[in-house]
Amino acid sequence: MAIIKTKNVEKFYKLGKTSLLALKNVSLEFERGDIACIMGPSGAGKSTLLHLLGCLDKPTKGEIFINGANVMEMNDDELSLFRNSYIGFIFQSFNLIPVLNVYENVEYPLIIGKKKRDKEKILELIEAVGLANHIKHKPDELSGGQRQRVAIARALVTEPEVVLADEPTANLDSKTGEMILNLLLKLNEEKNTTFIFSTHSEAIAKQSKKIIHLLDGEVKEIVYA
Amino acid sequence: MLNIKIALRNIFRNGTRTILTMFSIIVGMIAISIVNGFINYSMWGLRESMIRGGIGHFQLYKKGYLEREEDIAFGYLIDNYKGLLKEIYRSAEVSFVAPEISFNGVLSSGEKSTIIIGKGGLKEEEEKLNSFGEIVEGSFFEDDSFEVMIGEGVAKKLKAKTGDTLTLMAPMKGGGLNAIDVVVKGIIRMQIEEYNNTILISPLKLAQNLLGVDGVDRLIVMCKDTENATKSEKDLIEFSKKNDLELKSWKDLAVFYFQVKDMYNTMFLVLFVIIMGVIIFSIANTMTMNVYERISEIGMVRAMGARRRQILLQFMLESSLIGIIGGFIGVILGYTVASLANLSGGIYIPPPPGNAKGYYSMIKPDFVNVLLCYLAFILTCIIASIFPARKAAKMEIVEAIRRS
Repeated sequence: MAIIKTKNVEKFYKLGKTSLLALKNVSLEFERGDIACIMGPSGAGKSTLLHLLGCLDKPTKGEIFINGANVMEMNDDELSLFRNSYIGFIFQSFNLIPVLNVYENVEYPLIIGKKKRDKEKILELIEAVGLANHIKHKPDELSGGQRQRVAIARALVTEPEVVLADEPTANLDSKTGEMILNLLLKLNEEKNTTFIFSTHSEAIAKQSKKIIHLLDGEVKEIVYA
Repeated sequence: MLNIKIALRNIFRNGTRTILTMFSIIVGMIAISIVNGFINYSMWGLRESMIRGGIGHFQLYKKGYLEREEDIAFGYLIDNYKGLLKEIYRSAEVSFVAPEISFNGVLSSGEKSTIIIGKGGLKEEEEKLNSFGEIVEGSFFEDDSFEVMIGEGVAKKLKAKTGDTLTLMAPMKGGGLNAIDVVVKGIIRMQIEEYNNTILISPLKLAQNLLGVDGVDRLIVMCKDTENATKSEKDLIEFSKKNDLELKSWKDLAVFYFQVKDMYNTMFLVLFVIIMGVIIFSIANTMTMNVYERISEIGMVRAMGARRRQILLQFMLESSLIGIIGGFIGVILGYTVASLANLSGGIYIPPPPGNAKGYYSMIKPDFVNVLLCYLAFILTCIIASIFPARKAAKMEIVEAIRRS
């Protein structure tokens, strides 16, 4: 069974009296353990699709099923709970909480979800992303690559089924970007977590099992590796 | 616990702004503590000066005395007062009872005359009853003598000094005017200016002889302290019913005290509201800035699964912590300033309207009042944060994340 399924999804944005079509008739399926990549030029609808898949926004039309649950039928609180349990996010600009150190940033989703805070597990994750020596460091004491690694550990701490990454290497130099990508691939292999990337990066595309090409809000092509 | 830790770190993220906001709370709390301490002490002073300036905690009269016609002088006297005193003293809270008879008369030095409001009483009791008055010249009269105490204003009008012989005239019970020569034994300065200009205190026997009566028109009951005076009220009500007497508490008699108290309370309320207004604007401004600066963070936290309510509570928690910390520092500083002012002998207050002299006011904040104000400050901080916190909680996640 597909872990994520979209059926005829459309998204319009209202801009004053006119409305802008961001996504049109998108029907996709993602399997557990997939590494998928959404590609396309700026304005193609990559981020919009990622936000819909992450339950951060609702489509204007169509349906989205995650793990069999229709997210269209959920209210805001249910969606919040759902995101906390099933989805992890990695953003281009890291979005770490500046007042928290590395350990606390990773721990934070567990506090939000009122989940058991297993110190060993948190430390294990921090170690897995290579930051064992930086536990007490605040985000502003870390490099861009280190921050993104904290964001990865944070995205994985709740053991989500799906991790959505919006241009995760865009703000990093190529060497660090490659290191981050390898880390994500390793975690995908070890934990069988589904990774969906929105990216322009050819390096990420090369590693993906499925590449979805978007243009003007429509799926133009799906390429399977 | 981590939420509190995060909130504490967040409020000091922009330390200068938070300290400025806290400053308004600290200054507000200091002002509240000091004003409350000043009012508290002033009201205590006014209350005690009225109680110990002659009205006592309770007054007992013959039934009908308070509704009597003015021209029926001495028609309602308590004749058997000596027997009644023993019974009243049985109440554990009673400190002493002063039998008194009051009269109006004229005091003359030969050259000048003035109207007086006189009262006859026993030396020991009158000395204690008028303990808030200050003897500026001479001393108290002896019981079996022709000595009197007069107010400073009376002495001034008659150009009298201690040792001078004056003529005291007053209407007698059966009609007619009686006159008696009295010696000024002491000059007393009462707290209230009006008393000063009219008061004469004489030995009880002298007054009874002057008026041609045997009884007294009131028994003034003084308790050990005002706070516990109400404990003896029930006993005194029963006692008065049994003995065909009427009872009035100091609360019925000290009308001026309650008028001043109402005025001070209104002033305090106005000050409190103004300070609250400053705090509301200050907190609302700080929290609005906080929200705007943390939009992308709010988006991320929501993306991680935080519910709107959690965002709302986080900002309200931050705001309440500003109130808790600022208010606490304010209370400590307020009490410190009050203690320093008290150690230096208090603040000199010029004579209030109607009063004969100024005084040094101590600052004694009422702990319960200050605590309530402190809690009100915290509540105000929370209320002031609701609007910006709601704004943060209602933010669209996608929009918020895009701001990063």
